[in-house]
Amino acid sequence: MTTTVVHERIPEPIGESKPRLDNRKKVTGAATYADDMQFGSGLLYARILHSPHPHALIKSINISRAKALPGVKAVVTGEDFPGFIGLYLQDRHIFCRDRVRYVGDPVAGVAATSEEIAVKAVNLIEVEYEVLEPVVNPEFGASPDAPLVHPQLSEYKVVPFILPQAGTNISNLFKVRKGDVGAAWEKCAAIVERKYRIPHIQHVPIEPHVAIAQVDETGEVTLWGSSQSPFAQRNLIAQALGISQSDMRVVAPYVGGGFGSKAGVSMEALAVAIATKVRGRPVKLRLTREEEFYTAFVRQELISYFKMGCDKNGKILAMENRFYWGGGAYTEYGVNVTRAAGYSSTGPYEVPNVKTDSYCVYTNHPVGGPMRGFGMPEMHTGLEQCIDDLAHEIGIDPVEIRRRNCIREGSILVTGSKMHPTGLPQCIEETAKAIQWGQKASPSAPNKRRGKGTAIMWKAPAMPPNAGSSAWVELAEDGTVTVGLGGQDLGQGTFTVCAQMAAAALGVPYESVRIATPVDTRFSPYEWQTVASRLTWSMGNAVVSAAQDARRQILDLVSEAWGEDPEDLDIRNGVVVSYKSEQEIPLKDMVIYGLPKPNDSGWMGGPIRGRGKFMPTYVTSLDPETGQGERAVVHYTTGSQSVELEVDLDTGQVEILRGASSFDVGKAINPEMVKAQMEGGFVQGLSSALFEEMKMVDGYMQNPSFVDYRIATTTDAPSDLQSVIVEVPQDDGPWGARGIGEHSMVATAAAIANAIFDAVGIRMEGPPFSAEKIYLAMLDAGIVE
Amino acid sequence: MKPPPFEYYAPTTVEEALARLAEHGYDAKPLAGGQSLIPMMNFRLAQPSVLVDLNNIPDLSYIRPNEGGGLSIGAMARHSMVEKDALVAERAPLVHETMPKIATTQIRSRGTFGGSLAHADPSAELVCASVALDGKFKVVSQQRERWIPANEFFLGLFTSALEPEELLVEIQLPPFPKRTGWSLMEIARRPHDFCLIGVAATLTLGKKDQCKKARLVYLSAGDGPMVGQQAAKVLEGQSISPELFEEAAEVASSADIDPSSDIHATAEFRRHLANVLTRRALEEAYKRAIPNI
Repeated sequence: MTTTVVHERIPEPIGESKPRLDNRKKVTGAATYADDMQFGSGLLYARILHSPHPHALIKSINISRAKALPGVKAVVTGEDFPGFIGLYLQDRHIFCRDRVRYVGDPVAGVAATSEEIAVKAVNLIEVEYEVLEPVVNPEFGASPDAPLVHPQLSEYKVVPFILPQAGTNISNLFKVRKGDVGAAWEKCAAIVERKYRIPHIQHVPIEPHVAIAQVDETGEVTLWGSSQSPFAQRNLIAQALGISQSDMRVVAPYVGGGFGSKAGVSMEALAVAIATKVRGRPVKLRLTREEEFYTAFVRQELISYFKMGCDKNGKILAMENRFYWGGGAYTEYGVNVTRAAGYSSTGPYEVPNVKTDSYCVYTNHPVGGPMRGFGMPEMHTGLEQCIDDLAHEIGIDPVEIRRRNCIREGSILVTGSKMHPTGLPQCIEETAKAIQWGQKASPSAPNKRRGKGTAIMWKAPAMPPNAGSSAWVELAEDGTVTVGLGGQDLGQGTFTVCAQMAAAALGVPYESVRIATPVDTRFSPYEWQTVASRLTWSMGNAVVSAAQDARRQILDLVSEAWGEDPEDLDIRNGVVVSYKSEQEIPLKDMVIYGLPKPNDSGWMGGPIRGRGKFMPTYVTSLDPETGQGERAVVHYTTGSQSVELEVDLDTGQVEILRGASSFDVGKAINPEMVKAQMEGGFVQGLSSALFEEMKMVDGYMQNPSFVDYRIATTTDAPSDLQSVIVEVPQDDGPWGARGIGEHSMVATAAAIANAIFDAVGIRMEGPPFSAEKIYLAMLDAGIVE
Repeated sequence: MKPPPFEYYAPTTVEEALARLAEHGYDAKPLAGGQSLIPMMNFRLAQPSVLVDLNNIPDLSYIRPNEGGGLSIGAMARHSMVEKDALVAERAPLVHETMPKIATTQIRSRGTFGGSLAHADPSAELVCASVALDGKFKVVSQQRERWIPANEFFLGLFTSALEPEELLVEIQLPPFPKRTGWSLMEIARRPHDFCLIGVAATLTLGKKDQCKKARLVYLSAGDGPMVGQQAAKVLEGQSISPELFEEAAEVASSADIDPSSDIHATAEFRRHLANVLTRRALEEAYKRAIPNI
């Protein structure tokens, strides 16, 4: 069902920067996070024994000493849980059974009366391994010479649009064959070929993963956790346990940051599995920061090859791209990153001839999962540098080549579908203006060089074609409104935005709207997952639809009572008014108890509860050989980012002087929060460009702490950070809105790389662009002595 | 991670603290601001079984002028207190410049002057600044009281001349010499990180504006504060010129320091940065030695 959207009149408070709903609770400490919840003295503490090897066979496990330790209530291993689990590809057991595939892979779990005893018990478990050769490079991993990480790959259950290659480490291959790439090269006046390498990084939310699970005597399961995906967790864990989804309940209180790492199912399954062995008692598992690095989702690494060519006017004629995604030990979720990169592989450009091979490759690295951008930052970081190089090769300004080639309404996209209306050309102009593109400022010191760089992006929500949302709207005796929804506020402000949309669609003040929290799968309406930057659009549509349903019920009731046409009635500021008779009645006088019938003949109406849902109905499948199809995705959000920076010739240090972002969000429901997303994404992108890398040596992470894994802080962000909102409405978005959560970090690293090139003329294979790397590159290039 | 279990004492007098330290010897560790010790305990890099918390001893937090122009700083003076102190700004300009470069505002509000020194981290700014300034440290135990010059206090990586039963209670800084310029420079991945390399410098000019005395002490450049002795020999007695600074930088970065490689930078790059910083620090110190230049 598609929601009808009123485009003519934008009602209050749409487009207003309302204060966040959760401000007071978070500032005063009233907000409850999963670790704050109290479970009484019956609570048990879980700890996990992790694999110390990147790749090994389990020869034997002896748990008898651990079990004998006083205070230990359960010790579990893979033997207890034979089933598979996974979102798109069921390739993992809850606990390893015969083989470990990364340092951190869960081998056994313990529940004990204290965390200390649980730790002791874990240390008493004896495991004998036969160490195997690890796969640590995705490109090698895709070759026939690589040892197999999942010999049983061909037997795994998989969704139809993911294509594992039997007998290899390739868990998905997405191909694009469009036009005739081979014939196009000779028509090109300039061709560039480049290779890039993007390392693993991590989400590092402030709040580490935490889950508390309880299985009652009848087998009903409750899970409390820090979660982006309560309903997906309900579904996947119920399937893994072989129980009904209705007997599995997930409660998701406030979340202290997610960035994708709390999507799908990861450590939650461990807590639930252990809880099945100690029925009646809640079991709590929380990750330390070290475990967060070793065992939670990471961002895929990427080795990418680009070849692109243009004619003498800079018109891009062909692209040939090969992506080797290092998906880590399990790619149940990461396979879809590979697919998203495939169907977006041209970047936001119209290219007539395209050949893409996007491989998802198993490695013996931590598990790749969804992370802000879902493959797009990794892909764009290379692609957008390559576009700059092509511009220089043909002698056209980098902004100009983007103007000439960027997608516009009606462009034929890489998958063959037609582009919907988009403000990308305007975004390019906005960031060029903000950064004063074309004007070279002089450096602040003789030993410094100044440069500007720009990069553009596109990204679609990467999700199944039929991911759905639902919502309800209830009113209380005093006319206040409560909105039920199943998406999660991760700090991005979705509750605030949904409250604004409910207020607008119903006709009540923003201040009178509440959100029914915490999200609880037993009481909240269904929502697929809080991922893909899809909530403002998808869940927003469901909320609007629910509010409209409530509004319809209210107006039908009042029109009947007043003997008027509902078309003549309206709800303004919480009061039903008639434009015809000029009667009015506040909502509080009728939404619960209804209205009296005329002549004391009884009552009519009753408690008002609106319901709504949304699911896209138009996404089609793509041809597995060509990647072509009618409509690959629901829509693309597009945008542009520019930076100005200085490089110190003596030290290689980079200082980001200013940044500018512009994105087409369709309609900014809350402009300040849209800008906050743009700023936050810029800083996270900056962090990935300059600081972040999980340093892996032979499958072992070298820097699993904040001392050695550096993330940008406020002091690293430029004080001059401009964010410009562009609004070209989405036809099926609420008031035209589409998502912005992830997009704002997609182009940042490329823009920084392009600015470094502009400043000192060097390119590096990949981030992080540390002072030493830059200095050495300048030495190599003969820029410094 | 949480630290392993430990016993905890919170004495209210120095005497009581010394008695606890004497009682537990090597098993005990004094707790000052806890900004280094507690993380090290969480990482299991330090595993003291007894902590003697000094935060309830009021007598150890002060900044006092000394006769002749120097000053004394109590070991428990917080970084933030030293940072904002007018007397420190006047009498110990190098310390005044150093303070805001120590970690973050949050850490400086809790961390202490003496704690940072007793921790003897070769990447700590104050360790190197105190050597450059020829500070001396008052150390007491139940048995004795002694003064240790800064350049004899730091023995190696996280190792000082403190005996387990001893407590560092005061740092004395001599009068800042006339016609002396100063500089503290660091290069780090992010501004508040442990630096990749750093230098604390003082430069005293003679009557003919020649270099009378130079102190260069390097951070993150070896197992302790690394004194640029050979560089000082290059500088002292010579008239100032860019070439002289370049020569000193060359000597310091190749001969005076011994940096190692880690995941943040190679030893070679650290030497290169030391070269760059030596020149910059000497130039800044020179400008400050001749205010009218």
